[in-house]
Amino acid sequence: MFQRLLDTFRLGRLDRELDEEMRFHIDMRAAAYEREGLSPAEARRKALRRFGSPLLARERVRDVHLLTWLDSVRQDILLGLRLLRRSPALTVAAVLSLGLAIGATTGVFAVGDALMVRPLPVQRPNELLIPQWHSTEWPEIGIWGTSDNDDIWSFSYPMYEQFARTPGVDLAGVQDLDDGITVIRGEAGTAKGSLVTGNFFRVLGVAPAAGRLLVDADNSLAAPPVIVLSHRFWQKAFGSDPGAVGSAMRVNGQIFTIVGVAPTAFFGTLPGRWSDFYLPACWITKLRPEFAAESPLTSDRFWWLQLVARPKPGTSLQALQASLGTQFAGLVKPHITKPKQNATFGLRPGAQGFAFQQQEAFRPVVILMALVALVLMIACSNVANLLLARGAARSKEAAMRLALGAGRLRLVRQHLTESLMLAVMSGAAGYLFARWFAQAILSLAPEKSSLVLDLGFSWRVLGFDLGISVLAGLLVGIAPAITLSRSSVAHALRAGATVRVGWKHRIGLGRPLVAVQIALSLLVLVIAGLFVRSLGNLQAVPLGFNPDGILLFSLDPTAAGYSPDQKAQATDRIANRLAQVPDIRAITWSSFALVDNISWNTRVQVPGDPAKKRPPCNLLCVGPRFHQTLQIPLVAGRFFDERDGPAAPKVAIVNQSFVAKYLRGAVPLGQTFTAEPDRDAVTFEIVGVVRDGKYARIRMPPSPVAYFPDVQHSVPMGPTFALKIAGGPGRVSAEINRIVHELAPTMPVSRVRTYSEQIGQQLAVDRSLSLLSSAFGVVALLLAAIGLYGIVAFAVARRTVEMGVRLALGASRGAVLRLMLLDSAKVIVPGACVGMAAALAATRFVESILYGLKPTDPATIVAAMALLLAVAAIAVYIPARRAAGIDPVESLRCE
Amino acid sequence: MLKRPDNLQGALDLLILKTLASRGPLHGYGIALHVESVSDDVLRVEEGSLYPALHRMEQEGWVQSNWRTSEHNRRAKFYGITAAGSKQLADQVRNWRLVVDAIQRVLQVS
Repeated sequence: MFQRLLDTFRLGRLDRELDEEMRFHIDMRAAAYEREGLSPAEARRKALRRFGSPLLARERVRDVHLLTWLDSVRQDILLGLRLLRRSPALTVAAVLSLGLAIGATTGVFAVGDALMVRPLPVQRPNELLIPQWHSTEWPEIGIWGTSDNDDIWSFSYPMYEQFARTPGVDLAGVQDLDDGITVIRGEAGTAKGSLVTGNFFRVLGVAPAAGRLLVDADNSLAAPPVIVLSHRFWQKAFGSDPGAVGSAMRVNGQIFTIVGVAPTAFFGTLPGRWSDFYLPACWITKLRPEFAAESPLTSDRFWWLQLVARPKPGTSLQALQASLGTQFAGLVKPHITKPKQNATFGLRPGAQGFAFQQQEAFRPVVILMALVALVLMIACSNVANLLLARGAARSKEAAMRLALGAGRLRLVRQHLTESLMLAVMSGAAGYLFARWFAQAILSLAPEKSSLVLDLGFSWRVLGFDLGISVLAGLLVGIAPAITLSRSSVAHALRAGATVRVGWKHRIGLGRPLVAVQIALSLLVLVIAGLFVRSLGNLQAVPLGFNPDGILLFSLDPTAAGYSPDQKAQATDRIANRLAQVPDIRAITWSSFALVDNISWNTRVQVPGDPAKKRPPCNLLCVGPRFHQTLQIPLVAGRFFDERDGPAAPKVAIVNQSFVAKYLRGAVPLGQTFTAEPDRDAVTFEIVGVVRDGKYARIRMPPSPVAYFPDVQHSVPMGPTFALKIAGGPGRVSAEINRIVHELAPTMPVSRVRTYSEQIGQQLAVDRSLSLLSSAFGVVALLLAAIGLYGIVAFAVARRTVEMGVRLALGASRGAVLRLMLLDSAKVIVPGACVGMAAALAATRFVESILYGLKPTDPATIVAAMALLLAVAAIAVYIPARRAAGIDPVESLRCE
Repeated sequence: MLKRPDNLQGALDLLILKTLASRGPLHGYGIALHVESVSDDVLRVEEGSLYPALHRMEQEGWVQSNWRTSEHNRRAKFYGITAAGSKQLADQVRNWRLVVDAIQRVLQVS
């Protein structure tokens, strides 16, 4: 039977067999003519003539097969449609549940695709290469940019200029400028931009949406300052006004003329981050005054430019790599100080730009993907169960068709066609839903590390949607199809034995399906439990300060063009005005807020300490009454006060880890140490010790921290104000905006937030994961419970007579109940065991994002198991009690 | 559905099914020989049409085939009638009789 289907596809084999068949016929006929006395040649000719054209016969046989196949497919589809229409409730339920699950899976895939897989929207992205280097130890240079496993993508500007002269390659440079401060039509705001070399757009092959893009001549301090906007920013800040091109805007205090707009989908070179504007790289000296001392354009000690290379046609990659590598070796040599140090150069594929730097953001996407895939599998088994239930009702029809000579395979195929149609409908619904789901995921990401992705049409996403739809269709259809093909003709034709045939088989397959559901839902529950517990740990972790009632906001006077003196004055003026606002109880500030993912560290030397390697020390420059306002407890010594003026000896407050790590626990008051908060080494005297707390991230264990008063130093960062307020933050934040706008109109207020909001931002990924996984867990549990209820209720209905007999023969109702419970345990226990094994195997993949517990956390596993068993017990008990409540007389009568 | 078999095709189907029903499984050549000998060579099966017809009937489920060794020790494809084929044969015979009776009556009237 299977052969027949294969024949349909393997026309070659069919032809061979047919040829053999016809040859036999002609040979036989020729032999007959020979026996009549004809010569062999004559006999063969006559036989051939009598047969007619074998070619024509072969064509007609082929037509027969093809037509039959096409015809049966069409029949299957028509029949499928009719059946789906006949039970609209089932169809809607199946399409909805599968559609949601497929949509969620596709949505997560779309995010992952846009983040890591989708090539840059530029010409021939596959040609692009990213130069990188790797060093066993970091050379004595300053680096601006990310690194991963000591792979670094930043180079100095002189290095870029030399590389760019290499024949056979076009080389562009780019560095991202976050928190750019813009003034557009008098309104101050913040935006993310990129500093790019003049050839950036030409090398990538990008055409302007309006005006022109940057050219080589723009990248010169002598040229008029120009800026290109992203299409997105042009829409957001200018309402797509064509008049924007040619007008002026300020970035970090500098005035630039807008010359053009980049195309709609162009976001820059780092997927997930959307550059709002592009500036010629030469302006770095004006935009970041802290770099003015040693120009980044000429310094070979400051490596800050990331490169994108496009080899010219005909250039050998090996030759290019060798040539650039040799140049690199020469340029890096002066900075290598240690004998065993070794720096190597390489080129990596750059079709996705710098997407490889988004690994951190990609991990939660992968975890989410796994979770939605589990939910999809549960949804599939649920729909399969629905179809099985209906298949039971149709088993008589199936048996009839078998008896009338329909092929079993044909029957199976008809069912698969039907479930595939269901799945394709779900896939179409899911595709519409996917976009929405993808946006929802992106909106759950923390604001500061928000992902902005181009979720436009992608063949990969459509293909994925279609692929998993077909897979889901097969998963859903295979069980009912097998059941039907097993239907026994003899049983069906026996009088009275109607639906029972199918039902027997339904039990055979429905039970494993429910066991699978139980296993999958236990897995989802364990993962959800781990995330929930991890989030709980993170929320309960002691911060070392009291964030309650604290409102934060950040200013960046340095970026807005203020000198250090102007910055200090502006900070004081704003603090004094804020002090007059009635709802504000206390005011302080620091170079940045604690627990805001920002860290600033330096090497520290303690006199008398043999110069061994010490971990770097974290620093924080603080305003007046910082520790008191945040309620960081003093352990020894004193807080900063009026004594610590600009001219007084430099003082510092350190935390307990500092004492333990650098001073071996010795009483530190009066002890001095040397650190380099800016360029020069400064000697500090320790005047106080405070309790340990969190510094940059909640997940990091306490580390050494030194606080020093900002009146004694000038640092380019911040300030971030911390206000202790009474009542809600709404009125105070309006006051903040009004006061800052009045005192410093060119300086935007950024990120007004309560401290708990800021901490919440840091836990956003954990919160989204625990929220989503819990929701998935509930759905999974519910579906498994429904499945379980279904099979037990059915078993009760089927065994009514048997139970009646048992009761009539004196079995107690308890015994009957026990029997039913034991029966369902045969489904629950294997399911739970498999689920447990899967959980133990799978949860280590989430280990890296768990905080304060192991992936095999016994409490979580026991709790998940208990929840599952409790819900399962309820799902089983309700129908089982009915079995115990059977009236024996009634039950016997109904047979 | 497939194209409605025309009368000639219907007649060919009928002959093949009847042959297989009375003689048991046969290869294509055997079917052709049988039809010729029984009809005293009046009915000559158009041999080129025989094989498309057999394949079509196999797709319809009226006949089934398998490869066996023939009387001359050569591999040949044998066709046998199925239950569905027998039912089809009965239908076609009934139809045929109706048509023949009708024609008979027309001839008698004139």
